[in-house]
Amino acid sequence: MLRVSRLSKSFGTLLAAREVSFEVRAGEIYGLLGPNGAGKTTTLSMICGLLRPDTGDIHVDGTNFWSEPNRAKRILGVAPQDLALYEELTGRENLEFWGRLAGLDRATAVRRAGELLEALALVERAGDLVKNYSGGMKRRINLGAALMHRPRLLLLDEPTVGIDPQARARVVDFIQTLASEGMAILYTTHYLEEAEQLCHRVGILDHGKLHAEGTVAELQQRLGGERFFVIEGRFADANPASWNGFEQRFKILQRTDRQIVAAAMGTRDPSDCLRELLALPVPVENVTLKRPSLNDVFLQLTGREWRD
Amino acid sequence: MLQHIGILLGKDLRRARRNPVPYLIHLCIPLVITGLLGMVFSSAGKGEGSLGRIRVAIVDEDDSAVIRLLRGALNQGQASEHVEARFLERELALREITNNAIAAVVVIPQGFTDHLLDGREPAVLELVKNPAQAIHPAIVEEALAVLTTGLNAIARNFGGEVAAWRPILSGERKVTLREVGSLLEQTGDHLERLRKAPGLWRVSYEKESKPETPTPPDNKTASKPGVGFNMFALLLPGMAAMFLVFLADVAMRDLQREIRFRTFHRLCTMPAGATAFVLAKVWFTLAIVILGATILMGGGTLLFGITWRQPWIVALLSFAVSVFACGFMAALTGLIGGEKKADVLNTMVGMALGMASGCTFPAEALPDFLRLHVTPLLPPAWFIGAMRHVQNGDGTSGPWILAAGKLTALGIVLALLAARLLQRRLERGLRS
Repeated sequence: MLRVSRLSKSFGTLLAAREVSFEVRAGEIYGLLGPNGAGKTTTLSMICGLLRPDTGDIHVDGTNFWSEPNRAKRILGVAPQDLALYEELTGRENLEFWGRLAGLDRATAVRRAGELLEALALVERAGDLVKNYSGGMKRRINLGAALMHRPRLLLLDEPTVGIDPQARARVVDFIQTLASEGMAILYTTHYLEEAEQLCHRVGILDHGKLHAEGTVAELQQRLGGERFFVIEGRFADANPASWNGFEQRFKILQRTDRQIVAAAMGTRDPSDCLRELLALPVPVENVTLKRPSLNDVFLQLTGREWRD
Repeated sequence: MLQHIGILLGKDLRRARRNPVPYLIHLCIPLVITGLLGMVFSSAGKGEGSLGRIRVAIVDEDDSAVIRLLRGALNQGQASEHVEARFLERELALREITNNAIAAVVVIPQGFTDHLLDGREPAVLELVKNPAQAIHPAIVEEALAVLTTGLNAIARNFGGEVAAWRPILSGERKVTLREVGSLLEQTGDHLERLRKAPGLWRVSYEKESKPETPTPPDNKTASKPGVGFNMFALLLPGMAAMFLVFLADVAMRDLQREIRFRTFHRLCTMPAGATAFVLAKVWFTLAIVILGATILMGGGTLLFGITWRQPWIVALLSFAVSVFACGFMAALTGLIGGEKKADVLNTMVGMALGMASGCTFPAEALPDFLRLHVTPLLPPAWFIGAMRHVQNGDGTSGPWILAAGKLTALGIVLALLAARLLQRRLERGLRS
């Protein structure tokens, strides 16, 4: 449904996107992950036509976006990160307005608004002005406005930012339902747990570059297995290269004076790995077995913590 | 495109209805200021909105037959209801100004009539205004402009006849009834020729104007007393012109608010695009300003008892100035761009335009350079001049048609320019 090829965009000397390429298929939720300032919104803005890329192509449903922008815009639905709503209008009026602007006639817009208000659990507050809504309710209307014309490709830019866990769970459930109905969804977020839970595939973006993409399991696999070890001790003066065969059996992912994070290489049993680590020629205070997260993947790919 | 503009316009009007406070403020302020000024300046008058009699001293150093006619006219009929003219010696008249007993002194210098009728050198009247008063001296100045224009017209068009009449009127020599009859017939023929060919009228004011007592260019034609002078009718058009510009600013600023709240960006992800957005905003501004003009002029009627002599013309002029205000503020928004800059500059520019156009003070009170070289070029001054002409004028349609045409045309040109500017800015990624 969406194919992005070697997309680049710079603002002066800042290279906001560097040859970013990925695809989103029908019925798939593709997570574009990255910390704040990674280039997610810039990439999304290029895909929906707000920014023109310096180089690269965007194909929506097989057609180049810029050769037929209006055709692409009719296929797209965009829920921006900022709540792009009219606070002086009610939730229902907002939905109807955006629906009509997307090309629906009045009767269809009214009917679709009713359906979405029900699906988003906002029927009871539909007649209230948006300025009186909670953050979570505004987020849901913001999402609903993008869905009025039943887009086949949905672009969601941080749709759960700034809302409470309960509202977030409701939004996430709704998005899963949409994907199950065949909608292609490009989802940007900096909540890794949310991406792990929701996305079929993810792309990890940092400093405008897509470092890796694949399913969460595939990315975890890149770390050398399904689990890795967190070794705590005093490693300020330690030299792992001098530890007998350590670097042949373990891959160090991160090292500080107090901690080493290492993935076991090969297919050894975790208990064997544990014994080997406890026998290291340095005082080890604790060893924890941990399943790798997307944060660990990011750490391995970029050399820095997610929140750095 | 039209459907999108309609949807966007409907949304903006609904939002304005839900949050009318910013617009109401800009509608209330001119009514309140007009009310306050009107009450202050009409406190000496006979009733609500009345100006009261203007006290003027006339120093007649010429003592000619023409001036004697004028002396008689001033103290008769409707003129005496509005003007209390006393003929005094120069020294006594100036003392009356010092005592704040009169609004102005008009000095008719020696040889005034000769100069006027000979046409060899400019005939100059001297006006001394009372600096302690604001409105009455300005009205005297305007009246003087009318008077000199009228005298000038007579002198230029009836030079020969007046020269012949002069010794008769002054009693320099005795004449026979036959001579008087012949002169009447000659004058009547001249009048008839002028009536059939209005282009022959040669009326201008410049020749008589002098730097010390210039008069506004909008008041060249003779005025006749209206349906009772109302101070509010004099003040309201100026206030309305300025605050309609401010109202247009408030409405147009909504475009920048939409950029700030990112609704514009969402709209750009839809097929409607930036063009429909900008055009809808211009239409919205026009709708708000026309509504504002209706409320201001209608409110003026209800609150201050103004009787517009020609309501339809007032409505047309109000529409024209609304179109101008909308186009002007749209263009300014397009030129300035950012919301923060607009916050500061739009208000300042609007206020400067209003003041230089004579919206807040009578144009006659402005410094010479502004009044003579700048004010006549400013659209609100066209509106004010045309409104005064309609309210106090002789019923001719030329001045108001010209003003309405210029205001409308300029407004449309500015709005089109603004649409182009804004569209380009928005497409380049304008940030507020």
